[in-house]
Amino acid sequence: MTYGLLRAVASAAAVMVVLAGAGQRAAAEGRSGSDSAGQQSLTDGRKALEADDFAAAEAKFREAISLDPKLNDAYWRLAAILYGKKQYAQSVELLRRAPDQIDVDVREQLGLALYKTANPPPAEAVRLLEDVVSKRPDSYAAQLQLGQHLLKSEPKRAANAIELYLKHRPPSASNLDAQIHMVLGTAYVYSKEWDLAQKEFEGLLKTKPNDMTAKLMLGSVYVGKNACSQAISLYERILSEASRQPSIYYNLGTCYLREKRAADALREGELYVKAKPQDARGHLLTCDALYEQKNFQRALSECQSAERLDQVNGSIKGKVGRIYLGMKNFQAAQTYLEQAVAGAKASGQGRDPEILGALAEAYAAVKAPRDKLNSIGDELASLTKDPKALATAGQVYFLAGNDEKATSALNAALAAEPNNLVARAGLVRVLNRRAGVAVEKGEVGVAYQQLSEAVKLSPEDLMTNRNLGLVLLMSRKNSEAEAVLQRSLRKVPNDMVVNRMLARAQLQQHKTTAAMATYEKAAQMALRTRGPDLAAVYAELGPMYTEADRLDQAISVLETAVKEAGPSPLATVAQRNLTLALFKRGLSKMRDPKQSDAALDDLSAAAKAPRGVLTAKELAAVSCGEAIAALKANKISQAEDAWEQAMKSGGDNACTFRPPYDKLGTRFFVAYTQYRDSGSPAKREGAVKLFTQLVTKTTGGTADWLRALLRSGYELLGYDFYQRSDEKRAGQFLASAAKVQAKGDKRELEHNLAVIDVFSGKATQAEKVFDALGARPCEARLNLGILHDRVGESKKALELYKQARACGVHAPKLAEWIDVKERLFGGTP
Amino acid sequence: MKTRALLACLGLLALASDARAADKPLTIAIYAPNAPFDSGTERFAFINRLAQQVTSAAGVPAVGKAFARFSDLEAAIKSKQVDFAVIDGVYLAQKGVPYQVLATATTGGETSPKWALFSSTASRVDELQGKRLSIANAGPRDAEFASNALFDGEVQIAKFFASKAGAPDLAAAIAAVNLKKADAVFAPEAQGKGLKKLFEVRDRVPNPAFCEVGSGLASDLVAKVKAAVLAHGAAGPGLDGWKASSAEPYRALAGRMGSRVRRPVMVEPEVVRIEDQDVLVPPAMEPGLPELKTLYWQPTQ
Repeated sequence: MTYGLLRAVASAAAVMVVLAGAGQRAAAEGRSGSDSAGQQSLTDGRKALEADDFAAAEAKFREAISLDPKLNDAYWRLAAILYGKKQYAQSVELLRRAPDQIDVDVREQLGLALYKTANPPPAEAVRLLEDVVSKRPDSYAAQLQLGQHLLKSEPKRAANAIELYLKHRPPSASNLDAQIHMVLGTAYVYSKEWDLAQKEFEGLLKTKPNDMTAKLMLGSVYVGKNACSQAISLYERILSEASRQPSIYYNLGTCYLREKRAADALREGELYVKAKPQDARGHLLTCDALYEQKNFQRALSECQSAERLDQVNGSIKGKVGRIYLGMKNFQAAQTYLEQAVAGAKASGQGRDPEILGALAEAYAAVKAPRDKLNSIGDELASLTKDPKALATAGQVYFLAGNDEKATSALNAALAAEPNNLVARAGLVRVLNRRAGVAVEKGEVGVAYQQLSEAVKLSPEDLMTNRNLGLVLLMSRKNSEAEAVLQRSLRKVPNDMVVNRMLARAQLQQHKTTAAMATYEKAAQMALRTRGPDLAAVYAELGPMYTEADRLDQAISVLETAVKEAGPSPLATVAQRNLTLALFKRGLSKMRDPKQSDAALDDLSAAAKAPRGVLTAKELAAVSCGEAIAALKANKISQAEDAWEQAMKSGGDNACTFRPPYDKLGTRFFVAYTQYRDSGSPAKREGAVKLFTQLVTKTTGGTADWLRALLRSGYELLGYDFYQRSDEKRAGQFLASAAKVQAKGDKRELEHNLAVIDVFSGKATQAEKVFDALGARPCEARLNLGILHDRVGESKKALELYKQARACGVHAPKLAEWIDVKERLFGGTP
Repeated sequence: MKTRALLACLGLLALASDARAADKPLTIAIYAPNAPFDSGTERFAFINRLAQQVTSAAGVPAVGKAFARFSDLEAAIKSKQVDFAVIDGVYLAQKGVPYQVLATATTGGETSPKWALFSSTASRVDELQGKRLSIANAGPRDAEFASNALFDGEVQIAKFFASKAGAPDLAAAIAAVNLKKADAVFAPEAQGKGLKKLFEVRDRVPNPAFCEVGSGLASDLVAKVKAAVLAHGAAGPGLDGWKASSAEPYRALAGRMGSRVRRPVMVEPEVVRIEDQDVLVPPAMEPGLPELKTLYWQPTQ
């Protein structure tokens, strides 16, 4: 509605007053007679006026006044004609000369004319009009002018004035009704009487369906009454008009934003800004849309543009503060939000819970004293009749860590408005936090109660259900936990944590297959983020693979778990489970002689588990495994170290052996390892001593085996000392070996004794032995060759050397000897 | 008074020594019976050329002196008449390398030629049993050199050959075989032309060495002389150049001259193994489960 239109309507109405009022007033006042010349001119003027002959009427009214200056009617009628000719000043001057200044008609015309003499209109004019309508409510022209005047400042009174105009206007003025209804609808819009406004504009559109102004106004009504779906539908139909009526962009954008269509809102906002770059509202709409999209940087820029254009609007500071909050620039957020709150207070506006809530958030982020938060909370909580404020108070108390007050405020909000979603969500959060505190303290029952209450408030809340599932798991209520978690999983089938907890619930119910499948699903998700999430899933899944003898898979995932766990406490669990898997695989591989090295690798790795991963007894057992594996892989030194570790951890009973070794004990294995140590005759001597003792304590097969071991020990000692050129001691040990009544072949012993004979001056005897042994052992051939060489029988020696080589002797210089002899003697005997 | 006289004497001695160093030319000797020289004249010419080389290249006056017997050389060294010497490799090894080796002579570019046993009469080694072996007299352990270093300990020449014919140098030893005065001779392979090679010696024998034999020679003087010798490329005939060397190859040869003792070999006894696969009874070990508390979803502020 334009002021031009309003002015036109008001002027027309003023003229109609004269036209319509002439007959009525005259009739009412009984002044239809002609008493004087002046009176006759007045009567002629009225007739001319009724005949729409304004010039003649004006002349007659002037004549009447000149003839009889006391003719009050002539003044106001002439004034009305001058008003119609827009000669407001002349009209006012004339009316001020009217003999009856308290006459309602004179005052009405004076008010109307005076109103037009200045902008803003003189206060006297408004006073006159208000006086007139109070004394004579059917003064429709005055009502209309007043309605126009009050349209923006007092739209309710304006609407009332226009309603009275419509009630009292003469039928002849009905052709202006459409325009008047437009003004009335506008007044309703300004007074937020949305339904009345809607009725006005819908009525106008029934008669003029293409009335763009009415459409625009109806759109504003829809926006005003928050009927955004209707508004969007209307505006989208007239969007082609938006280039001429940019408000379409703005209102449509506003509604898009309310309907959470931020991208559409942004587009419309930007179009509005393009059309009206100097209108702060466009920038604010764009800012809000960008804020919703979390494009804080651009949002800030737009809000700052708005702030430059409109420095009065305090709400912009609040918006900027919220943007800074989103940008995590908490100091700036705090500054702006504090300014917004202070500005609102200074301007006497009510407390905006949203801004106060945001300020509380900023305070929480900068770790401002709790008092500040509690103070905001108290301020909001004092608005006891405002559920939104109470809900925000609850949120602020929550930020302050004041769960008790938060609970009270949120419950109060819900009492005031049971469906207040913010309060409900806030209370659910508070209950979850209180339950979390209880979990930390180990008060699982309390936690369960809190979470049950939260579930009642929000049965589908994922956080609550997940936490409830966890608490049930911790309470060993596995089947209930499974049910709760399965329910959650329907909403978030790919939630790693829910899957992991569900798997744990299944595992604890021995639903192994299901648990493994669920863990594997959780692992798929955890693989995207890796780190401790993956470590935890694998740490639990790995032992299941171990149990199922899928040992390679177990070790693979547990190695990953250890790596991904980093320095977290999870690493210990993962490492323990990896160690157990390695131990099991090592023992398994040990059964296959071809995999003795691989077995040793696994068991060595298991034995190297960091401190605290295994108990002393477990570590002893693992070390025993490593020692046995090392023996099988012929890694004697490693075996000795492992036994030492085992004994350190578990003493003499470090390991549990299967029969018949259970009777021999760990010390036997230590001695056996020393017996295998070719680098230390002293250790072998120690081992032989223990074997000698054990032989006397055992019977049957074990005793036989120990005797074989004892003889072997002596033989090895003989060999060791011979290698060290101590033929004397070598001879002694070999002699001891010969005395042991053990089963088995003695050819090697005989051979080695013959070697000692060579050094004892019994070469002939030795030669006989070597000769008799033939090529078993092969070394007999070599030694026989050496004896022949010694007596100068080079060719015979060569032949024996060649036989020894063919037999497989690996004497260091044998190849050289043969080579030289062959070159010297042509290889022929 | 006595002290002053002693100091005066010491001062005179020092002066005399300096004067000797300044005036007396260096003496470079040669004793190399196993070197491939055709004659004593050739050997003498070689040492003189080397002395000239030292004189001109090092700027130090030098004279050459040839020795035919090691005892003469040793006496000359003992009496400090020799500063540097070209010494037979075999002799040097036999003596345990008592001098600082600065360089080794080359033949055909090699410092250690291959040696072989040559004969003019036999076609196999065993045919030489009871025959005469010609050998250049180089030092006191020539028999050990032949038996152990050349025959690799497989043939004791004292037992195998009827006699050993000593010659003043290698040329004479080879000539004895050619003249049928002996049946076999060990010589560098290049020297055995016209003779039948019966046996290739496994390890090479180093050529003569250039040694610092005088005492108290200034290190810069030694360095100059060494550089001059190494630069003496066209040294032949016989020896055709020099390469920097050390005592190592001569010590190795000395090692090979020792007698061979073949020690009988013992059989390493097999160890008795634990054949059972399952020896251990593993304890029950429960896997760990991560704490669930950490999964509690704390509502964010």
